[in-house]
Amino acid sequence: MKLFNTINILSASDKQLIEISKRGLLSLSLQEMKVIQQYFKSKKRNPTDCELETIAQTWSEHCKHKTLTAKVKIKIKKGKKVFIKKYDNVLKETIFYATKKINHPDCLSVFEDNAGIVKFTNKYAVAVKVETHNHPSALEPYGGAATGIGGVIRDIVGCGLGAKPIANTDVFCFGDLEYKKELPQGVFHPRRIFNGVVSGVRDYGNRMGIPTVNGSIVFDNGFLFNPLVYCGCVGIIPINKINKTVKPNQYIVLVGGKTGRDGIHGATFSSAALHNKLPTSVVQIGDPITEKMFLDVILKARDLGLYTAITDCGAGGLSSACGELTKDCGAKIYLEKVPLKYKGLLPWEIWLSESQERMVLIMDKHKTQKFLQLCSLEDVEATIIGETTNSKKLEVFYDGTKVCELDTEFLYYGVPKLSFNLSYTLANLKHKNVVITEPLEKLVKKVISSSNVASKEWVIRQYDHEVQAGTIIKPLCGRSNEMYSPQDAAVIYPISIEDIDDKQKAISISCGIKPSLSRIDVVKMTEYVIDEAIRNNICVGTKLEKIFLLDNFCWGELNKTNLAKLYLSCETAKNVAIKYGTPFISGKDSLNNYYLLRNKKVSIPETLLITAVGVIEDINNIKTAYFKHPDNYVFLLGKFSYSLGGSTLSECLKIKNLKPPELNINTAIKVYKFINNYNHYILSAHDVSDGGVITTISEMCFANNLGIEINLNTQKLVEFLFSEPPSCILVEIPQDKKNMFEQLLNKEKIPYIVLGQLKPQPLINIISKGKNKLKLSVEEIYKLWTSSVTG
Amino acid sequence: MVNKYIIEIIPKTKNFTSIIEQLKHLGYYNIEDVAVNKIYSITGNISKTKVLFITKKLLVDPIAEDYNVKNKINKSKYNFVINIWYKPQVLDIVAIYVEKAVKYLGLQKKIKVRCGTQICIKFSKKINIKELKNLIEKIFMNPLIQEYEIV
Repeated sequence: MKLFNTINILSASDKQLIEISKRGLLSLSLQEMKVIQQYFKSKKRNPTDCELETIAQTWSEHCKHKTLTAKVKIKIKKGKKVFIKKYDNVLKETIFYATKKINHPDCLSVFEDNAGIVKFTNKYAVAVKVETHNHPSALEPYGGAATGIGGVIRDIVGCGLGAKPIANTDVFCFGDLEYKKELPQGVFHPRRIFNGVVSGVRDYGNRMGIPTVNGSIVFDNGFLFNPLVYCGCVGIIPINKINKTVKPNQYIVLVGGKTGRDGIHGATFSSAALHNKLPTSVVQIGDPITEKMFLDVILKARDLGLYTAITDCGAGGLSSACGELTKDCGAKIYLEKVPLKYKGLLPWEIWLSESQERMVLIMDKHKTQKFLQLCSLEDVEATIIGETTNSKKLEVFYDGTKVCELDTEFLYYGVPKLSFNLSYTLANLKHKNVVITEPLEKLVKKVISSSNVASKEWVIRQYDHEVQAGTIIKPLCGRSNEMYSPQDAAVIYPISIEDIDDKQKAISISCGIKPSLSRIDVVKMTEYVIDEAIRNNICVGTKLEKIFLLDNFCWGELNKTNLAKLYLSCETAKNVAIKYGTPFISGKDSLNNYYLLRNKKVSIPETLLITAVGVIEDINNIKTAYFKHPDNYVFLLGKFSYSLGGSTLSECLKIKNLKPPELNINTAIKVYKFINNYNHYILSAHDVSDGGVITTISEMCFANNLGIEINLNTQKLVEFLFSEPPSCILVEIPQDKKNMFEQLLNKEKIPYIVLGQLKPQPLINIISKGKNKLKLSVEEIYKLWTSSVTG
Repeated sequence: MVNKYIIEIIPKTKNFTSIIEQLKHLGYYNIEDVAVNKIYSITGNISKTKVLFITKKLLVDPIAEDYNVKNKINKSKYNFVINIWYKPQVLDIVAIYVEKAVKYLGLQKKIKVRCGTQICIKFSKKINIKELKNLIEKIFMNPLIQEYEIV
């Protein structure tokens, strides 16, 4: 077997350099290829295939976030005004800046490890990560989604010295399940992707014994060719185990599954367009049993202090994992020692393989034997594959032959910076009155049964959201066994951590996503999703100052307009997060989500998922989202903005270019703090979201099969019932506390509307200006709500 | 002597209406019946008695499933039986754990296991092979990682 090939780049022309990158699926630009050429000119030799592949993986968009860390000048036009924004590093000056500026004392490790880590109790911290697995899920929905959740669980196991996963989240964007037109060869029907993805997440999460507790599903034909699959994981880690240390003369140990050709080029492929001629090797297959086995061993070894650093083999495989861990000192890796699934792998394939369920650990030599014994006892494969050095070089050998030698300084800090000069005109939509002639009852039924509003019970019930016995607020709640209300956020009590030092605390997890708004205004979309994630957390009883955010940008083709939108979204995210005082603790981007359809690039709508994680100080303050007792009063808190822009109703009726509702952050903060401070008055809370006020009311009625009589005094009844304004929350207040609550609202100058009173008869009765406008049976609405989304 | 066995795992409660609906959605209205079974292939120097033992101990849930151990598939009432397997270069994770579990059962002989899906279809009128292949690739398998045989 020839161990490596030398790639002639020293004398290559620009055209040949591009050709080398394309042929090798390296996704390296000409500028990057020239920097590599220069490096090897200084070394007076050509690179080996292994070296070139290592650089390509390390410099991939997936690993380096080159687009988000670019140098950018952007001219923003708003009406007649023009602003210029300049960044040397967009990510650093927006998302990271917000976290730095807020300087939250509970942020323990942010943007530096596999997951963001925030303080939970004095002894324990919460680790959170959300990843995307879009391209693999488009090609093989089951395997792609399963390895997505498997990968993010490993991020949690590989953060600090290892966190124990306690909850998973999943958010998906698919095309319309009823799509009828012919799809190009190699593109699966949305229903097949939906079924495959849900099964993949279900099988991996359930088999790992981790509850899947929170998520969202968006149906929009913008995701027909490129579905989005976000997978998140939350873990618990002792605060004294959040720092890694790597020093020379330690062993590098590979733990878990064997290495095969699966997933080769995953890191570079994840940032490329989808087309119909991809090799089998880009698909990975998950093995939750192996992952569960090594998870248990690693947590045991962590507590015994057997290793000093750990990370998972994700994109780029061993090259990324070993390289990242040892970049400050150097390493020697012996690839012949890596356990293989089958013979015949070339050294670069072993080095780059993205075979799943593998972790890399660094440990002192004298502790290695004990670690290997522990693994052997649990039938977990563990192998010493190398050692750390002080050479500041990454040296890779196969049977004594050196196949790769790269300076870590060049490998990790040598990537050339991208630079963009952009301009963008902000949307300037004027409010316009919409004439809707359809009867109100028909509109309600249309919206409540639309796939984006309808119950996702068919999906939720496939996941085990109870395992580990700590799920206090589940995705669907209610006392009866027949009807359930959806909840705004999941709440987890980490009961499986036996020596937890504060038994009153819990963790809340929610999300915000609204790609339909980005078609109108990317700034409004960004504001909305951050507010949505936060207000969902507020609803369950989390205090605003204990909420932390994760950002996941999924963008389409990176043309100048889309790039400008991306940077504007980052800038908006920074401003909103700073105002709310909610820092970003982790994030990830997935760019180039477009499909080449007969040489035309079809992009997804720009999509930002915000995940909000909160620390609830007292589990007694937790609220659910369903009405509790007849006769209680229902208030709408928040500044209600009458606008159907981006609403489910406007989508159902195909009304375009309506102005989206405004977010007033100052008022939102007042409302959220009021809800936090007067939590003891509130019996249930639920935000106004997809489907508008009428959906929120209906969902709150379901679980206890209660009715409500709503008295309004508005000319714009349709806009009131179906607008989806941010920062509005419906709360249930006991009858005897109504007056006191109103006095408090007036005293604190909180905008509010008394919507009506709960009734024992399950009817939603809407009276406006003294006239009966709508009478709906809660059971009938529930039937419509639960019957439209199934596999 | 090397023997090859196909083990069909058949659900006792058959409810494939959602698959028929999906097929109709794609324009295949001439489907009279569909069944989806799990299948395993076991190859090695192993007797049928041992394969039956493995099937009962590892592969079948006797409450919810029936099984057949065969050397050859017969089509019974269906027009077509399609066996779908992972391509050899793709990790067949269930098969790997079956091989491991067989060792834990005390059977030391080396066997090769594959795990797959069997689709049985009865059409109400004749269908040509090209159309059948199109249907299989659209609904039941992923050509990127799987291969199939029409029995």
